[in-house]
Amino acid sequence: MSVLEGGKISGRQFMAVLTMVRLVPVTLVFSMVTSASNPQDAWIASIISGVVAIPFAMLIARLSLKFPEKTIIEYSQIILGPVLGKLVGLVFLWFSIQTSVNIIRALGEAYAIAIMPETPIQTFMIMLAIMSCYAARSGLEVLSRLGEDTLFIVGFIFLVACVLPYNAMRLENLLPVLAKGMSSLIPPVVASLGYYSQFIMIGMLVPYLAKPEEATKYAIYAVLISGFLTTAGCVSVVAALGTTANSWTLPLFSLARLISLGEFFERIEAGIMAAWTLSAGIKLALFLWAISVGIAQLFNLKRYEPLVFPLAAVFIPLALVAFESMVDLEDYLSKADAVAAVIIAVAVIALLYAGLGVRSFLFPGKEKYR
Amino acid sequence: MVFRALSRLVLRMVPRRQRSAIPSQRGSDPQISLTGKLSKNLRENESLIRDTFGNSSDLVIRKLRFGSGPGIAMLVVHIDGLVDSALISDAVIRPIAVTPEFFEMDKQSSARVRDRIRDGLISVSDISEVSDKSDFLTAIAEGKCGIIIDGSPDAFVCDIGGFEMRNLEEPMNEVVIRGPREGFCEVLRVNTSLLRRRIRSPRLWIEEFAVGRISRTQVEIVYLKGIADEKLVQEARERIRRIDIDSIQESGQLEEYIEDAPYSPFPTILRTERPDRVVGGLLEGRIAILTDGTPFALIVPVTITMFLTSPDDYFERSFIASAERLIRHTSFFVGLFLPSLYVAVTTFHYEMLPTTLVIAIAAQHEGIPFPAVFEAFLMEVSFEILREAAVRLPNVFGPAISVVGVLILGEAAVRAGLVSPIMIIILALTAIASFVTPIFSLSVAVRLLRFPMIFLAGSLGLFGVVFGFSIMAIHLASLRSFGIPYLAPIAPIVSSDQKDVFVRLPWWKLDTRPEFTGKRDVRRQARGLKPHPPEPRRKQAPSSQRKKRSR
Amino acid sequence: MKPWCILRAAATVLLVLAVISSAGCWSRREIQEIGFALLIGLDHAAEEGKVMITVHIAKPFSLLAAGAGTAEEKAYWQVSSTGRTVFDAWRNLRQQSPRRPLLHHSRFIVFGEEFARSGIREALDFFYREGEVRETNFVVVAKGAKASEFVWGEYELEPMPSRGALGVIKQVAQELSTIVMVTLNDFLQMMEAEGIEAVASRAEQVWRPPSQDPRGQLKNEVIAVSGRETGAAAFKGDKLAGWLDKVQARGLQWVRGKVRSGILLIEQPGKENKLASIEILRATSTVTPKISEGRPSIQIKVDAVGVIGEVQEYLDPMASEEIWASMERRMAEAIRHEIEAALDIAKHEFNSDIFGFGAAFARRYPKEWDGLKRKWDEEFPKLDVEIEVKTIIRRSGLTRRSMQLVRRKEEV
Repeated sequence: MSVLEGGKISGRQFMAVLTMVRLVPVTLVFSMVTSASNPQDAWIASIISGVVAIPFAMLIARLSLKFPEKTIIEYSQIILGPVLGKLVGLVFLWFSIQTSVNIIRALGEAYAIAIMPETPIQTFMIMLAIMSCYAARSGLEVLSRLGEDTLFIVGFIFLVACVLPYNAMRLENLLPVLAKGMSSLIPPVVASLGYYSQFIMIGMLVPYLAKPEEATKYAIYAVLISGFLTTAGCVSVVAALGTTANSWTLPLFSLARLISLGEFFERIEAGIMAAWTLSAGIKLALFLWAISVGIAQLFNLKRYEPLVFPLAAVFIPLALVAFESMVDLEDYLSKADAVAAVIIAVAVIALLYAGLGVRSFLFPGKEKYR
Repeated sequence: MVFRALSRLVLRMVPRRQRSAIPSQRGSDPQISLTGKLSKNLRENESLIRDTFGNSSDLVIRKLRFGSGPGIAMLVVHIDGLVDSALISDAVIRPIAVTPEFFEMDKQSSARVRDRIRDGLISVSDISEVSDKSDFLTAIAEGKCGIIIDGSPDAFVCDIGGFEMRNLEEPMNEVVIRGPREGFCEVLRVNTSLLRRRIRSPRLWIEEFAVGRISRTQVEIVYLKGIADEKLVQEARERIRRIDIDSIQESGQLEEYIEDAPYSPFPTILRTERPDRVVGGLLEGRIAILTDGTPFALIVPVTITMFLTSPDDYFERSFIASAERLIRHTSFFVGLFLPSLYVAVTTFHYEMLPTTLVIAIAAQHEGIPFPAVFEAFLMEVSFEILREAAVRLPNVFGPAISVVGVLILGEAAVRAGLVSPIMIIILALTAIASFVTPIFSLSVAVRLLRFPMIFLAGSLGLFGVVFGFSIMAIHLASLRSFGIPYLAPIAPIVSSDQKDVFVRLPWWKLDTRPEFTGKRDVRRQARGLKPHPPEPRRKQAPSSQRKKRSR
Repeated sequence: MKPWCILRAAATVLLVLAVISSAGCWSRREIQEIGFALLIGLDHAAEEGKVMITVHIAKPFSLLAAGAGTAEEKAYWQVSSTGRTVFDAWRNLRQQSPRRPLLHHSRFIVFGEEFARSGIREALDFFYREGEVRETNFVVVAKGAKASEFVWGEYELEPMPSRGALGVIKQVAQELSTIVMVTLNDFLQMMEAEGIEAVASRAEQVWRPPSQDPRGQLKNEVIAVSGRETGAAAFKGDKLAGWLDKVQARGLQWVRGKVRSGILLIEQPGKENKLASIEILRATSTVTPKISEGRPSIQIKVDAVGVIGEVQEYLDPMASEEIWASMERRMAEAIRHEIEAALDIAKHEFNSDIFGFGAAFARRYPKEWDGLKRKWDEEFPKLDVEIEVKTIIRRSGLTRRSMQLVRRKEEV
C-alpha cells in the first residue's frame, strides 16, 4: 500500500471519475465532431471507439490487478526494472501533464470565446487551477466523492442539452450513413481513442479502490456510460446543426444555444457551461493528483500535497504558451495529441505486458508480486 | 447482473410474510446477558446493575446495612431524575432504617426481611416482586425504585413516581408543528431524565466528566450501548478529557474544543434544545453531549443534511414531511445562491433572462447609481443589521422592528432611488429562505457565505458562482465530523440512506440505521411492517382452488 | 494549524482576490449601461461598398413613464450605422449609442430586398461567429424595402415591433402555416447543405392611408405602417431569387411537413360558389426520391387530417356518404393545388430547389447524387414530381347538420 494517500474509493466513484475523463473534452472541444470531415457519422465513430476502448480499459485494469497495491508508476519499475520502469513512469507523467495543460487551456478558451470575451483567459485558467488544486490536495477520496455527484449533475445536464433543442433537430440530418466510406471515420475514431487512452489513469487508481477486484467491471461501465453520452452528444449535435456541425468551435455549446422552450427557458447556455466547469474541475483535479502522486512515488517523496500548487503554477504558463489559439488547440487535440496518446498508451501497456511475459518466462512460478 | 436481477425478482414474488419468517436479529449487546434470574449474591447483583447501565452517572445505588453482627445488606436502586429522591428516603429508606425489628436481623433472615417489606413496611402503593434480571433492570430504567436484599433471590420494584415535572418550555429556536413541546432546561439531571423517559432501557448509558479546573462543570456523554460505535464513544471521551480550561459555561464553548474543523464556517456539531431530536440521534448511533447549566445539547457525529431536518419530519405524514424536506433543501440553495445569481445574471448574463424581464429589470435600474453588486451588498448588510437588532430587542419590539425595517426601509430605499424594487424582492426571498433552515448554526454559515458569493458573482459572473460553489463543495466533502464524512449520504452517495435525505419515506421503510453510524446494529425494525387491510378470504380461495386443480 | 498555514491561506485568498478583481474590470456591465437590441437589419449603405445595419434598441425608461409606452414616445430607438463589414458597422454603432448595444436579445435578422438580391454570404459570417447573436433568431427578408426604411409595422398590442412581429409570425406559422419560419440555424444549414436552397420568412409593409380612421388608440402618425408577415423568400445560392406568396408558401410547407394548422377553402359539394372552410388538424409528408432508368423523380406523399370548420350552405353530411368523400377529395385537391403552385414557381421561375429534393437524393442515393449534383440546375426544373395527397375529414364540430335557417325563413 502506498503511503502517500490513505483514502479508499468505491467502485462507483472510480467509474465516475473515469467517465469524467472521457466526458470533459466532449463538453468542451468535442473533437470527434470537429475533426470529422463528415460529422454525420460521428456517432458511428463514437460507438466504434467505445468498442475498441473496452478491451483497452480491461487490459489496463487487469494489469493493475496483478499488483493491486501498486500504482502504475511503482509496478512498471517492478516489471521493467528501475531504469526502464522509471522511464515509463516519466512517459506517463508527461502524458498526464499534457492532458492537464489541454484541459486548462480548453476551458479557458471556451469561456473566453463564448461567455466572457473581454476577460483575459488567464483568469479562468487560474481560477480553475485553484479549484482543482484544492480538490487534489484534499485527496483522492474527497475528489472522487465529488466526482460521483458531479457525474449525476453533469450527466443530467448533458442529457438536457442533448434533448431540449429538440425543435431544432431533424433526424434525417444523420442520413446518409457512411456516405464517404469507412475511411472518413478514421480521424474521429482516433480523436476519440486519444481520450479513451487517458483511461491509463486506471493504473493510478486501482490501488486506492476499496475492492480492487471490481476495477475491470467499473472501468467497462465507465466506457459504456461515457460512450453512451458521447454518442448521444454526436447524434444531437448532428441532428440539430446538420452539415454545419463541424464548423463550430464548441459544437455542444452551440447545441445548447439552440435550447428554446417557451418564451422564458432559453439562452441558458451560460448555466450549462457553468455545470460543465464542474466536470473539467474534477478531471483536472484527478490529473493533478495523479501527477503529484506519481512524481512523489517516482522520486520517493514522503508527501505529494506540496507538489500540487507548484505543478498547477507551471501548467498555467504552459497552457498559455503551448497553443496559439483555440483553432490550434483543437487541431492539436484531434490530430497530434490523439495519435500520440494512442501510441503512448498502447506502447506502455504492450511494454508492461511484454515485461510481465519475459519475467514469468525467466522466473516461472513467481506469479504474485506483492 | 442478469442473475442478480432475476433473483431479486423472485424474491419480490415471494410474499413478504414468508421472508420475515427468517428470525431477524434483535439488537442485543452480546457482552451483557440479560436473561436469567437475579443472583442471591448482593455483590453480583450490584455489579450486574452497574454493568448494565454502564455505570451511568444518574444511576443511584444506595447500600443499606443493618442488623447485628455483619448484619444484612440491601440495595436501593433508582435513576436520579426519574424518581423523586426525597420520596425514596421518606418512603423506602427511612422505614427500613427505623424499624426496630430489623435491628437484630442477620444474613439468614433475608426471607423475613422480604416478607416484612412485602407486608407493608414500605409506604408505597405499587410494589411488586421480581426475580428476572431483565424485569428488574427494565423497571429501574422505567423510573422505578428497586430493592434487593442480600441472600434473597427476589427483588422488589416499587413505583414511587413523583417525577417532578419542572417548568419545561418549548424551545424557541426549534419550533415544531407536531411533536413534543418540551425542551431541555438548565439542570443537567432533568435533561438526562427527559432522555431516560423517552428511552426506558438500561442500554442508555451516561458517562460523566467534570470539565473546568475551577468550575468543575458536569458534562455527560449519552449513548445507546450496542448501537453507538465504541470507537466513536472513545473518541468523544478523549476529546472531552483533553479539555483543560478554567471554566465551561455553555456547550458552545465545549463545541469549539471538540469540533473537527475549527476554521470552517460550517458547524460539524449539531446543537439542539429538543430531547426528541437527541433521542433520534441516539437511535441512529450518535452520541449526545450534555452540559450542566445550558439547555443546549450537542450531537455528534453529524452530517449536513441533519441540519436541514426538523423533528416534525418524523411525526408528520411522510408525503407532507417529504415536501417540507424538499422545500428546506431548496431554500438552503436559494438562501445561499439567489443574490449571487441575481448579480451574475444582471451584470454578466443578461441573455439568460426573458427579454421582457430583462427590459423590466433595466427599467427598474434606471437612475440607480450603484452597480448591482454594491446594491446587493448594501441591502444584505442592512438586512443583517435589522436581524441582529430584532434579536436583541425585547420580544415585543422584535417583530415590529423587522416588519418596519424591511417594509418601510425597503420601500423608502426604492423611492429614494437607492436600490431597485427587484433587489428588494431578491433580498426578502433570500432572507425568508435562510430562516427556513431549522438549525440556527447552519443558517448563520449560509448567511455569511452569501457575501463572498455575491462578490464572486459580481466579478466573474456564473463562473464565479461555480467557483465558489466548487470550493464550498470541496471543503464540505473534505470535512469530517468525528470521522464521519460531513456530506455523508450525498458525497459519498450512500444509496441505502437516501430514504431520509431529500425525502422522508414512510416509517416502515426507514428500516436501517445510517451507514456510517449505525453499522453495529443495522436493522431498526422488523420487515414487512407496511400496513395493509386484513386479507380477505376471497383472495385465498382461488389459490386453493388452483392447488386442487393441479393435484 | 501552524502560523505558516495561516499565511498560506492568506496568500491563497489574496491571489484569488487579485485574480477576481483584475477580472472584474472587463466583462462586467451594469444592466443600466446596456442597450438591448431587439432586431437587426442589414442593407447596402448609400456609400459604395459599405453595409448598413439597423437595430431597434429597447428604451427601458419609456416603460417607467406613466403607463407603458405612451403614444408620443416609442418604446424603442431605431438607429442605423454603416461600415465596410457587418462587424465594422456594428462597432460603429457605439458612436451613436451612449449605452452599449448588445445583440443577445435580438429576435430577428432582417435583410433588405436589395441586399438579399445581391447576395448575403459575406454578411452572414458575423452572425454565427459573434456569440451574441443567437442561432434561434428568425431570418426575414423585407419585400420591396430596405431594412432601414422598413419600419416594422407598429402593433397596437405590443410596444416593441420585434415582439409584435414575433407574435404575428408565430401565430401565422401555427394557425395559418402560410409563412416559412426559419431560424438562423436552419438558414445556415440550408445554405451549407447540398441539394437544398435556403428560404426565409417574408415581411411586407402595409401603409395605413392617412385618411383612414385610426384602428386603435394610437394616433395615425404613430402607426403609419403595419407589418404583414406572410409568405417566404426563396434564395438561389446566397441570392434572393424571388417571393412565394401565401398559397405558395403553404405549398412549400406541405412538402416540408411543417403545416400545423390552417384553413382550406373548398367548394361545397353540390353547391355552386359556396365555400366550405376546412380546418387542418395535422399533416405529415414524406418525400421519396426515386431513380428509375437513370431518371430521377420525386414522390411526395401528404397525409392531412381536417375538420369541417364552416359551411356557407346547408350541409348534412349524413345524407349520403358521397358528400363526405367528395369533401375529402376536394380538400386533397386544394392541397395539391397549393403544392403545385409552389413547385411551379420554384421550378420554372427561380430554378431553386427550396424543397430539398436534391438533399433527399443525397440521403437516399448518395452515389448517384455525386453525378447528379453537377447538373442539378438542369435536372431540377425537369424533375418529375408525383404528388399523392390523402385526406381525412375527422369531425364536423359541434354541428351534426347545418341549421336550415334560410329555408325556414323562405317558408314562412
